[in-house]
Amino acid sequence: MAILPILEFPDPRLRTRAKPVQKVDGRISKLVDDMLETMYEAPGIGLAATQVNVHERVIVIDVTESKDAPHVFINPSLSLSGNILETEEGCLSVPGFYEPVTRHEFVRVDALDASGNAFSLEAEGLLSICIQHECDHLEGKLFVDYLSGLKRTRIKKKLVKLQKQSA
Amino acid sequence: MSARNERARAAQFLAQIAKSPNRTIDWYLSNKHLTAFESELLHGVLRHYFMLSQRVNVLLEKPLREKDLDVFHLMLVGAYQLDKLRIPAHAAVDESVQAVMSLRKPWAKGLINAVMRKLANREPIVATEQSFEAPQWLGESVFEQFSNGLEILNSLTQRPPMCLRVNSMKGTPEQYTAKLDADCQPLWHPETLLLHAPVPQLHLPGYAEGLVSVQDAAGQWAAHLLDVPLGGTFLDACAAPGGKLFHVLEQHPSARATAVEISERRATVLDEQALRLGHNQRFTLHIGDATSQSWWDGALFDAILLDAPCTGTGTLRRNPDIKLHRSHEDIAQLTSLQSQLLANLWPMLKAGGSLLYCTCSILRQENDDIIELFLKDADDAQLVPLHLPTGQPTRHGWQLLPTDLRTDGFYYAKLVKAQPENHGP
Repeated sequence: MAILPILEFPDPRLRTRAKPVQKVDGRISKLVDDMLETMYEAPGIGLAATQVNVHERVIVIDVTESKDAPHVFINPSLSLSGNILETEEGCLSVPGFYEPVTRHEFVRVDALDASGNAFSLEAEGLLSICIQHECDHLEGKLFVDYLSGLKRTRIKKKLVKLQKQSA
Repeated sequence: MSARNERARAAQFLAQIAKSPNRTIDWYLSNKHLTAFESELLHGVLRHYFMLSQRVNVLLEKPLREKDLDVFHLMLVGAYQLDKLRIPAHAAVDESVQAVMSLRKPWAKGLINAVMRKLANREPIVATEQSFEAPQWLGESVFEQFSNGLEILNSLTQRPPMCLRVNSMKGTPEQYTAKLDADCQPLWHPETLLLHAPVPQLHLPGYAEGLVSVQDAAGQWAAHLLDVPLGGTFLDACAAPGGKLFHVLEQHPSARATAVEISERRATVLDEQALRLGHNQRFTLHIGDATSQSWWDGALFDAILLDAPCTGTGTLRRNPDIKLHRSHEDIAQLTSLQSQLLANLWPMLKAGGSLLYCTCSILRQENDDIIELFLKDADDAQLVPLHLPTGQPTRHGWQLLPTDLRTDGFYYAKLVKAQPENHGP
């Protein structure tokens, strides 16, 4: 297993649309393992392959504090329902910023698991929000896209400055 | 996705609260989606703000810049976790360092690491009569007025009790207790239920249907001390959020009420609560100023409740931001308002009727001193002695004290208007 570097906003590679995984093989299981390790180490509660510069439809999530309930979704497709709720989101690719974003209350996701078996899951609460957030990454979309242009520009400036400092 | 760093957020909010008087804890609770842990950190750090600050300040070679107040408050958050939440030192250090990264201040990593390590090796500071958990102005007043001033200030750093008021129009306390999945006991009045451990308001059974309200036991004396005759009228002069008004209506189903509230926003809250409890048809609400008579139709009231705006020093457990936001100058402003209110409302009271004056303050300036000043000029006002099962008598009224951990600090005084002398044949 290895910890992978995470791309940071405004890196244009985060805007790539991911392609479906053709075959869940050893290469994908290694990717999943690395992504889980990277997510736990960050620490984060969800990570999309896009964020580690692999443009295939893979996401990993664990919203528990005990970090013992990992979810793996390969080629996920979503149906959304319920009320529109606002919560504050943050992103490992936009480190240190937390802003209110609206999402659907419930989500049903159909996907393949780490062994390539099809499954479906209905989620609510933080898990539901996290699934929606990670699936956005696979479309090249970030949570800052939901914010006002002014806020997004401010975040971008601050991050670019910090990235220069640490470069 | 990254979960927000709760410690970093708490530190940011604390820095904003310290800087800006209109940023109250309540504001954050209603606007910022606080997690339970963030709320705990905000309340806890503010309750112990003065000792924690002192502890951190001695470790800083020079004070942090104004724009780095978040880093300073992160140190307070760390100190609070060490001293009060008993989090192991290594965890508190690691978490604080992680939080400073999340504040995007990597330069402060070494500083916070060093400060946290030193804090972990030193004993917490114990409050004394020279150095206490309150601003200087408040400490001085409390020590001057109470022989157990230190005990009072310390009691105000505890977690507040949570008390319910069962809506007697919608059920009995027994029926409600049976629904409630939490340990509780009646306190002084059957409808007053003291919970053994707090329960989030929204988890209270029947809350939305108006079976119950959350109200401190101290404030629940108002409805029992106010004398409303059968079918009588009463005025609640500073009514929002409405707890005492509704309690009186619940105790006196035949009473008719007039409520005055100066803030439109707070009047909206009162209206919502009235609707929830089913009392919305039972009173007339004026958005107006109780220091004027512009809203008054001239009809005298059988009873008047004046729950006057005050420093709120009796509720510091609940609203610890008051310690940072209020100043000595506020007392002068508030006492002048309290006296104006009392003088303005007194003529609206029927002869033989009574006025109940109360505040959630423990300071004599806002309590006995106001009554004393009023009695000098009002020839037709007489004091009614009060006797409550907790707290202590004062010269003119009764002071509930936060040292009784079941209640907030609260003051009551009752004045009755003399009947005019009979000059008839």
